[in-house]
Amino acid sequence: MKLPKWQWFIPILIVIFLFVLPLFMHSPRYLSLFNQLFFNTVLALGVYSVWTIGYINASQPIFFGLGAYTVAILMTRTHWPFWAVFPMAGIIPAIIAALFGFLGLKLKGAYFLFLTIAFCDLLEWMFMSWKSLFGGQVGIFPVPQPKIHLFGYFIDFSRSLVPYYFLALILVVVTCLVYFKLHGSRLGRVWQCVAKNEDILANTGISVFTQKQIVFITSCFFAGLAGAIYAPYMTIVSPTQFNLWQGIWIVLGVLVGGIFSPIGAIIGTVFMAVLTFLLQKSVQFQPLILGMILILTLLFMPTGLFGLPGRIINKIREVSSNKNAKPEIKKTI
Amino acid sequence: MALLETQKLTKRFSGLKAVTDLDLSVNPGQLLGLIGPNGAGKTTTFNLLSGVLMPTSGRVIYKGKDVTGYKPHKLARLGMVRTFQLATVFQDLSVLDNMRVALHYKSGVGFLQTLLQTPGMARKDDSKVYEKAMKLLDMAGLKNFADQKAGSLPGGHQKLMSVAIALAVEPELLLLDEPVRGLDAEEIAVLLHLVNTIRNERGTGVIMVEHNMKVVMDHCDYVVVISFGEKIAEGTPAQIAGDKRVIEAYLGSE
Amino acid sequence: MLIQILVNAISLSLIYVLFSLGLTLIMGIFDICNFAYGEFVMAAGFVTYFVVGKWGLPYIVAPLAAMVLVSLLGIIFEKGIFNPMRNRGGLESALATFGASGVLQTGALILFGGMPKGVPPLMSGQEKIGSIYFSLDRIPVIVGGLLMISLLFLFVQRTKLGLAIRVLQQDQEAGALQGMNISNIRIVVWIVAGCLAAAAGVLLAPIAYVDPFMGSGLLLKGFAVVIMGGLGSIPGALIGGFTLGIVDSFGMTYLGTYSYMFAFGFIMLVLLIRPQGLLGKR
Repeated sequence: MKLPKWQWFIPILIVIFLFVLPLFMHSPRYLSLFNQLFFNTVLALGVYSVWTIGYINASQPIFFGLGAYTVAILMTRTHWPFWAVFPMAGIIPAIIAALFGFLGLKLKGAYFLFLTIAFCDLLEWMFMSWKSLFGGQVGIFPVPQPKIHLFGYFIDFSRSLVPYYFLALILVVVTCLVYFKLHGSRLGRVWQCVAKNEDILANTGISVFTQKQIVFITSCFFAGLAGAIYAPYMTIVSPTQFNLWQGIWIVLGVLVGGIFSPIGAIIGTVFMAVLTFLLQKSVQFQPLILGMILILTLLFMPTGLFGLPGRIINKIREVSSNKNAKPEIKKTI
Repeated sequence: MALLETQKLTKRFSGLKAVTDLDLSVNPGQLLGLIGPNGAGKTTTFNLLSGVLMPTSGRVIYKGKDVTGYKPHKLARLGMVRTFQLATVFQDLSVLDNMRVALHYKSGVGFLQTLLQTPGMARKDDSKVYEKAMKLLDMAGLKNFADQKAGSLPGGHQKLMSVAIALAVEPELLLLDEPVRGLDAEEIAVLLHLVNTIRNERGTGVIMVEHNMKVVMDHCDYVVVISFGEKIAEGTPAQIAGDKRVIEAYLGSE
Repeated sequence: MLIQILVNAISLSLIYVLFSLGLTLIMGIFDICNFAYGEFVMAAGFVTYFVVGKWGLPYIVAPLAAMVLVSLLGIIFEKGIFNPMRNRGGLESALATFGASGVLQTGALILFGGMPKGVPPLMSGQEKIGSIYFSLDRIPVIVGGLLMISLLFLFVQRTKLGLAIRVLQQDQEAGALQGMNISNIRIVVWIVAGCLAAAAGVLLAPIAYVDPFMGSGLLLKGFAVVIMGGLGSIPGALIGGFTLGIVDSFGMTYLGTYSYMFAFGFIMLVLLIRPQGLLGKR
């Protein structure tokens, strides 16, 4: 989706606003809300990306968790500084994604979805049971805070959430730039064809399987990086933080927002954040409500919220051209 | 040296012999027609040649190299490209984007380049691809449809497009699966003109599966007839036309 | 003691087989994933609970009522989800069934509560043959299971509809060419699959507890069986279901928490060795 030049103002304004926000908003409650939103957006962009090649990944939070555990484990057991551990938190989930994808991406989309669901269960169990590595149910605590020096100043991560806010914000912006660039390019068009016309694409010399791998691994890489920020931010990493349920929320967010554009993924994530807030009181009803939203969206709003204006405009055009045709038909009858 | 050669190509589907001991060969610039009654195994042969199916036995030799069992994208990179009967184009993309995607591999721009290229580099790459795309569309007579959604084009135009897509990879051997099916006389003329142009100008070899006898007889240099998975006759169109076995095979199936 | 374990293993296997048969029909003929199939079984389980447990009606009412209800459920799925989305590729309808499974599970939770409910078995007590004791409650399961499977075979092999279904298993296009009314046959397949799930649920109810989540574990196992046996393969579902049932019964005591790892690892293994039917795109 290429935006015409003047429309770039809106995202730039939003980004500037977000950067400036902490100057006049200090409440940890709101800062953490934004942090959560940033993390979810990174995950949602990955899910969107994989959706364009025809696969739904319900296990993004698991890769997020792998990144978090990587940081937690490495920083508690070694003296490596945060900036050295940070890339590892992206690479390790990426490796696991490569292994999983090597088999999983050979399947059709629906079976891949099923496999990611089973993968969630499996890794949740592993986080819980492999006590020597992951710390079992208690998890890993405390996770050491990053020690970062910037322009001679020591950034204190332990006193306020603001540094984490900026770290997460920078990651989101970078992830957005990456995905907008990739999916707006010719390569992005190629990826669209992976989902629907593999055979024709293969005949132009493109190794479709390699492309699928690239997209999937990249999405898990960024999920892991987000997890790397999450770990010291929460100061604790435990198995209950990453589950299938969150994965479904993210998938639903991408669907509701619009699966045909990264902007849809962002809109959907915001929508789901609002929905989470609204549904706070009725946790036990959530599967019911989410399931209904899922089915209704798939049936009646398949292009998502972002596609809604376009559909409404098309409908109006259709109706108005029908109106012009009607009188003529009546005459002949 | 033959461009493509098959040696005793055989495919069995759990007891059912779909293709048996098929030997055929194509030279550069040659148009080979593959004909036979319905169910004779033409599509299976095509799938064997283009890497969609793994042969049970036998070999496929392309430019002297054994490419038996190579996957379609590898074959395409070596210069062997096919078209399909149905689902011929990228339906949801515009005609121009279809060509852009088709040219993507040849453009040499991969994941890392796409990610890291500056806007200036991107523009240069884009305009190069645009030029090539428009040239191919022009050859296929589809230049005016560049911005239309490919799925909205009439069937005949889509078939022309599928040939244009195949040409994007600069193939040395083209495998056309019933290219003129569903086309009217004008479209057939355009397609055949296109095929002949690339044969003459680039020395591309073509293997064509077809039911349209007039097209086969008028344009093919050489014809191979298969029935029940076996080659029953081969020769120039004139030789085939009078061959009793061929007539029998076709009459027998009606 | 061993006899009892064997009897339990056979009865569990039969339930797995029934479930897998239905699943393989749906996945093989329709080429779709139904993530809510476990909930079909759950629905039948609850019907059994109410019919036999709460209202005290004769046992025979349970399978009849369950089959009607679950078949209706299947038809609702077909008309509401799969038919409207038939042009959009299987992924979106599979996602929709995932949502449906959540709706059904939570719906049952809200309506009936999460407490597992016991259902009295058709036959109870113990019998003695020679010097071996075994309990009678599994007998109806075995009889009912075998009966159901035989009915299915009769239907598929001897009736015209059954023949039509077998043709569709091979090639949907050929079926359409021969003038078969595809949408009617689809309804028939859903009814068959519904009856199979219903049977599994009715048989399962007395020997396990009935709760909203009884179907979800079954789904993973059913998928494993169908993958192993091949999509649409009835013999595959039979053999696979039996194998898994026996393995599960004997392994339950020893494996316990490792069952996730095994189910997942098993599926991955099968994918490495025998991935027919799941590969590629359509």
